[in-house]
Amino acid sequence: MNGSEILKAVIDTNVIFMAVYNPESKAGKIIKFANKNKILLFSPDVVKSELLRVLKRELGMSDDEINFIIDRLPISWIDKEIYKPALNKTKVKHKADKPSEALSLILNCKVLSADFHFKERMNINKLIEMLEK
Amino acid sequence: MKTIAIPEELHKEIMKLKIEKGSKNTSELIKNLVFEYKQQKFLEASKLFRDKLKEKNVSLASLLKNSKKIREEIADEWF
Repeated sequence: MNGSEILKAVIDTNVIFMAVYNPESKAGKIIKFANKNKILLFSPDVVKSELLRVLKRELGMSDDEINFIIDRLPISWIDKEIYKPALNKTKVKHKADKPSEALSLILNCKVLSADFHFKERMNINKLIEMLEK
Repeated sequence: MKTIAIPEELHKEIMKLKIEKGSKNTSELIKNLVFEYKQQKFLEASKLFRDKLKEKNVSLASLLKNSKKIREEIADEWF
């Protein structure tokens, strides 16, 4: 990686929740690096919908509270139309995981997830090591 | 590069802060201030999230488990 390049990754729901739960965790460190503009984080719109529904249904949050959290995440949400063409090129068997992998194919980067469904997962320890350099 | 015009007094404050923070230049100082602002906002979101988990007596593990179910539900609706 030279000085002009910036790392990018597709971040999955579980990593987002872990980061928000504990900003000092490895997942939290990734958000910190994104806030420092050392990594660009992307996620499909379907992940955003998942976050919204979980926060509403599981924690009974109001729309304002949900937006308070979502707006503070340094993540670019990518519309379905962008990653849709790559959905049929994905290797992951689980239908629900296909959008994240499809987006990673479009952006030519890896998925940052705690889910073992993804074969092309990014190693969070190695990523932190790279970002700390 | 862009130039911004600021009042004299604010310029003095920024120079003082630059020395205090040990920043190499004003650009680095502002970059760090922006980072601190964004990180502070994120910490506020984190606090709200943890407060809600506590209030509803929900663990992160169970939230993640239910999140997976919701993910499948959304996938069925969307694709």
